[in-house]
Amino acid sequence: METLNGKNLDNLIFKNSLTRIVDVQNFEGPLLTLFQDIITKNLYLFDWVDRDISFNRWVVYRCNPDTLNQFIKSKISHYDLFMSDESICYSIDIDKNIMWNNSQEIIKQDLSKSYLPQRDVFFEEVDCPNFKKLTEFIAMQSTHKYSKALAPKYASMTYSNMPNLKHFKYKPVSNNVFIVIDKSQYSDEINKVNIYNYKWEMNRSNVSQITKKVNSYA
Amino acid sequence: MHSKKFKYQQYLNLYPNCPHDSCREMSQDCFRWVFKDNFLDSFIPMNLIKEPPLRMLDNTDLLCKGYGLSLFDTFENGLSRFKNLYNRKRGISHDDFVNEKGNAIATLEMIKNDGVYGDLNTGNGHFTFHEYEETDLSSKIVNITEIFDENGNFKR
Repeated sequence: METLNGKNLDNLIFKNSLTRIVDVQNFEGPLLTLFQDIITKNLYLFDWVDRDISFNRWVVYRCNPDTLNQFIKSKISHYDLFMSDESICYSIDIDKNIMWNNSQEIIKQDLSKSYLPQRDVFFEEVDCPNFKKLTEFIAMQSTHKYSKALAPKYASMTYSNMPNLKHFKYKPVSNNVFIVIDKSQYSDEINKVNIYNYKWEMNRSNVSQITKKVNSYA
Repeated sequence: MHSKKFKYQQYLNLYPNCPHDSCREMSQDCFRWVFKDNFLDSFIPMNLIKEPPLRMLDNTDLLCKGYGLSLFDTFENGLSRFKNLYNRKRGISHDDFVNEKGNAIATLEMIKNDGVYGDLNTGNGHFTFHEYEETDLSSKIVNITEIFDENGNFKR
């Protein structure tokens, strides 16, 4: 399998609150599967990308219901779906006992090219074993404002695990609160739905360090 | 409840109603991806293939139908599905895909006493087949069509 250039994680912070919703694509096993974080209500896709003799590798990324709805209506490609929402994704290697190994956080732009979905591949209903459940679930999610689903993901962030500043813009609000703006912008259309803010409650001991680093990117 | 004994019955017993009561016997030609020079490895159910490991996200992926075999209702549907997945593959190479899935499509002349068929996916012609204990699918092959030409391109 490809060598990944991400940040090693002990595990995905939302692993224990994930519930499986439905397979979006399946052939002799899942290929693209929708999960929901039952605490934050965020949606995540597990996208199979590779395997070796011991593991299957999945790339995991957040999506919002409106974008997913566009995907299943074939208005956007698999690539567009992947690139939407956050600028980061995760990689997990799952073994035959369904144990998770080698969890990493990866900037999408740093992901191996061979793991990227193709730009000309679109959703096909025949790949989805329960299309009715998928559409009903998305419709239900879309009735809520997506902003409600945004979790304070970086609430416990420290200097050592702050995201790559090339991809995030930090706007200080007070001594210990920053607004973090995701700069992952791939098209004007996606841009409209993808810019979101996080309040970042920082550990006071890190404030000067982080402020210095943020200012260097200002 | 099916009255005849199936191949891999010891595993099927682990699932309720496996194969499902709705599965039926049929006599018809079916089509399966196979390895042209290795029929022994061409009829192993997904759940019994050790390497690479099954694609599983949780225990619900270890399904009854994983002890069945994927078949197609027409040659064209089998080829179309192969091409579709071949072209969509991500990290693994085309060679690995072929080594895993096959390099030819076999026409199988099936009779009622061979096993039972699950629901047909009318969109792509795929269904799952559970063999009876005594069935030898390699003996049912009446034609083999290679998928690729000598240059590695799809024949059609």
